[in-house]
Amino acid sequence: MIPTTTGTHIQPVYLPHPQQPSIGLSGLSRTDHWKIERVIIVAMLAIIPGSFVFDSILMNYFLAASLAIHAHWGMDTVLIDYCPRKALRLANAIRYLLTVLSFLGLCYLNCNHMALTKALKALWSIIY
Amino acid sequence: MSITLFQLNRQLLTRALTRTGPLAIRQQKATSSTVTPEVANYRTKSAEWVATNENKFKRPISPHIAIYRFPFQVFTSGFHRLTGVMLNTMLYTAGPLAFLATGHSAEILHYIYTSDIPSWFIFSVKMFIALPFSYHTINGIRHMAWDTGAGFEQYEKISAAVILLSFVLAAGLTQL
Ligand code: HEM
Repeated sequence: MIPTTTGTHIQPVYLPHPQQPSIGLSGLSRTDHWKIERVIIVAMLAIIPGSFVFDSILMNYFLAASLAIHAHWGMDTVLIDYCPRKALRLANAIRYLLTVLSFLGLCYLNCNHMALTKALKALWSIIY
Repeated sequence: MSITLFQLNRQLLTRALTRTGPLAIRQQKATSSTVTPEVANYRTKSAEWVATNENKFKRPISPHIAIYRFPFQVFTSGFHRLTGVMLNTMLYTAGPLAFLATGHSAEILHYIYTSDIPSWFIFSVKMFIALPFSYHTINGIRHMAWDTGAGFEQYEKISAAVILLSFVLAAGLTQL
């Protein structure tokens, strides 16, 4: 709890939360965006092991979607931190392109009966 | 949320001011009358830093990475980012490549199965995928604990546990 001081006239001042501007195309506020990000991360904790256990087409779509969105938002922070301002537009366009391509690529695998989990399991089964 | 953030800020500030714990500010105040060799060294370094890099970037860089001693935190946090970017690179290459591979997956697998790849190489490849994943996942859980305001105490111990666990998990994953 916020401590209140006693015996002095110094007391905390409660300011109203400033209106959060919305970002991106979705019109979400930053705090909403942050919360959704966390919800997806928690979901991933179940989706990743779950998709390897159940290995179904549906689980693989969940896996592809959550990987793509988490990676996309993760790269957002990384680009903002390290990318020179001049190159940011181009880098951002490439980020969008790569995310869409990877998501579609994973879906394509899924449609062709070589879902990501199956492919990884096949690779993993190479033991000499 | 704001309450936890408030407490966090207070905690960090207290730690910094009392000069204990991982986030302690190790640099002495520039106005301090005692100029130890350490302080003199910091001053020279910071002057050099300002003269070269800050002019290059046209802005100050915070924290002044040239003059603070790195706390342990820098590495665990940096590894989270590094592993995140590594995993991302894998996704961003494997995803688009999937278009080329589809329909040929049997051939590709057959080729890999029949070619004579040394086992240390296979183990390394598995480790290269599993270790970033395990570290990023376990440290990610801790990140979210931090988001709720928990887990700031005993920073070094928990970090050691995270690193150890991620190696164990990665080694376990390679054996599947
Ligand atoms: C279930 C497993 C995972 C968990 C629990 C997790 C958790 C997290 C968390 C909490 C963050 C935010 C860090 C912060 O607040 O600064 C983060 C960032 C990130 N994650 Fe993950 N993640 C997981 C899997 C992945 C995977 C599979 C990828 C890649 C495909 C990935 C890529 C990234 C990237 C690029 C960042 C941004 C790095 C940064 O800002 O420092 N993550 N992750």
